[in-house]
Amino acid sequence: MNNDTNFKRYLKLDLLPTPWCPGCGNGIVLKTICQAFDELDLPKNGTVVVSGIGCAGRSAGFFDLDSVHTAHGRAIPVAEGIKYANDALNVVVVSGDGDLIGIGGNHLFQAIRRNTNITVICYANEIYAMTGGQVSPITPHNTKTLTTPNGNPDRPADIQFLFKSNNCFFARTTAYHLNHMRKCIVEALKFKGFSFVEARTMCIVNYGRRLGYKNSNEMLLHYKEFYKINDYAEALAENEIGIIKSAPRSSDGFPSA
Amino acid sequence: MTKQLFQGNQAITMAAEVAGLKFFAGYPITPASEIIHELVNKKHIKVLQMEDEIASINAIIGASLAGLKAMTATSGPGFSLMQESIGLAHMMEVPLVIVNVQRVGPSTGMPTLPAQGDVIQCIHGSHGDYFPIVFYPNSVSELYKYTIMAFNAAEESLSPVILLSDGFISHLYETIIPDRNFDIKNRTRPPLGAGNRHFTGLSHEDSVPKTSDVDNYRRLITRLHEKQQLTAQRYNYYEYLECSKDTDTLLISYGALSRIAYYFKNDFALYRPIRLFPIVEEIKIIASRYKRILIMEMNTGQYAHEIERILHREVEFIPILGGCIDLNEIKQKLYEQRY
Amino acid sequence: MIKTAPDEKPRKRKGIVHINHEYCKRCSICVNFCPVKNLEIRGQKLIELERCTACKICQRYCPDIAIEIEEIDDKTVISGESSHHNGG
Repeated sequence: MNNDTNFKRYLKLDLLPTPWCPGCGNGIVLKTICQAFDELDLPKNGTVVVSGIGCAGRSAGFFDLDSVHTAHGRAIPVAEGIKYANDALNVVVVSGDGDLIGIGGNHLFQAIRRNTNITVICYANEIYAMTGGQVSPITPHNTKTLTTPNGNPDRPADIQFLFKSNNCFFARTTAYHLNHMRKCIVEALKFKGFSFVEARTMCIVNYGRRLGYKNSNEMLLHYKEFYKINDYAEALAENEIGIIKSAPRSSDGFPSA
Repeated sequence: MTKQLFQGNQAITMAAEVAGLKFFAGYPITPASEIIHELVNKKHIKVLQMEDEIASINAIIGASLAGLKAMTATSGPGFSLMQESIGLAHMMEVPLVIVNVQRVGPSTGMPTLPAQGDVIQCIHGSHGDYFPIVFYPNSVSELYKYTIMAFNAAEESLSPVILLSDGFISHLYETIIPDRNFDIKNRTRPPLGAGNRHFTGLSHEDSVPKTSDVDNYRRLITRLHEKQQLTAQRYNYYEYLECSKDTDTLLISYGALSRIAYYFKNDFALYRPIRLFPIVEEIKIIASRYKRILIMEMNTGQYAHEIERILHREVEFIPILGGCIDLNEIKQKLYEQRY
Repeated sequence: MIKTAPDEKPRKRKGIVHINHEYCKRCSICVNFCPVKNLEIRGQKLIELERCTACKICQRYCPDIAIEIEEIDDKTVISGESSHHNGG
């Protein structure tokens, strides 16, 4: 086992503290990503972090690596450009659910189709937090937010099946399950092809507070009680976290008559 | 070297190859599609057909940061989609070449017909202040030359350079001599994966985002402005033809429409900017010799306003709305319809 | 004087909590997670009460990388005010 603080070599410690609110879970995910980097001993010269806009998007600047902070929703195409330009680089996208699944949803879908060998880590806080707490594509049904005062009328996007369709890697994990999150990120980084880790993380100030949580610790305990680990399942239920076991691709190319 | 017959869009791809293009991402659009058709067949150039123009420009931003010379090609609707990321590329100082083969707009307009309606969009399309270098040639051989110049200017200025064309000259076939003897500028900045730099669209200083430091923001924008002006000075391209007869009128036109202006060379002095933006300073000296300035363009006076602004005097403009260039119409407007 | 639970006996201290007060945002995640109630926020400052068992749960969950646990010899017994408030 590595030293507990070895992961700090991947961070620009002089830029801390992070700009996030007290109790925000983004820091936990940021730390766990660095721990996964450390576990795999990724070379600092040769790893690039790309992020979009939003709370999670700010995390790219804290990595002691070359990093790119792109326009809203455009982290994946920039990362793909980097990867196709230099295949030797490890390209990691860190961004939020609104950025990756909302405004950048089409890019995500197309990257799955192209199966670009990059890793996407989604800080899934279920809300547009930077702008005050508006409904996001994965906000649960009936949840109150600033823009859904009577509860979210829509169902959250369940994107795991997109990944299955092209044998890509999908994992869901939470900020409570630290070891599981690290395992998911490590496996995603090792995966040859497009990999996506949806890390549920808590936003207390612009989300949890309005739902009645007193502090972010309660939100973490909610993750502990609500989510059950079900690794390598065919599909994940709403209350399950784990790595999706993708079926082997049935056929490549155009089917002949 | 022998003369060969090429289409405008083909000339762009050949020149891009000479200039060192290594990465192209684009989305099919009339009248720019031939560029991607040509490039997919070239060895040593990675070509991606992305899901839209937004993804295309972002992919080339990534590739350019990763060290490759990168380009995309589009037309008006796609160029509109790219605007946000053009601002990003200016802020992050990413060298790119963006080819915009103009067609009639707004919206879907008349896709197969030429226009010059994207002139102001080139410099004000994205939000905030940025100062792009824009070239607009008017023949196939010029498309060839200025594609190479666009790549060089992009590398020198570390910014996205826009090469304007239109449905007319991009689809025109002309004989050109594809000269390979150009001085090619290469990347000086190390590619991604070589340090701990942070490229961000936020106002920043030395890789550190500074979201509320006003002084730093003003310094940043001033520096970017000066850098663009300085680079542009090395690409002072324009064409000026004095009239054989005594005339008090200077006729300004550019791009496809300037080809027809040569017809009037015995009646007017002719001026044609090739580097549209930043506006070539020599226009001030040239314009001072003429009482009357006429600007003819395929829009409702976009460049005329810019010229008016820099000359501090009134100019007359002749809008030839996009679609077709008709000599009789232009004759009538030039000689009879005075503003 | 350090407040302790009434039935608190002097117990073996196994760790020193180094708190970086510049990074700490006093979110109290560590306070709630600590199984021996070793951490407290007093006067806008996170402090430790010197009964750390070095389980490191606070270090692991701290979102701001503000806590580091130094494991110490388990023969050391708590006594008096801690001198280990590390400003980082």
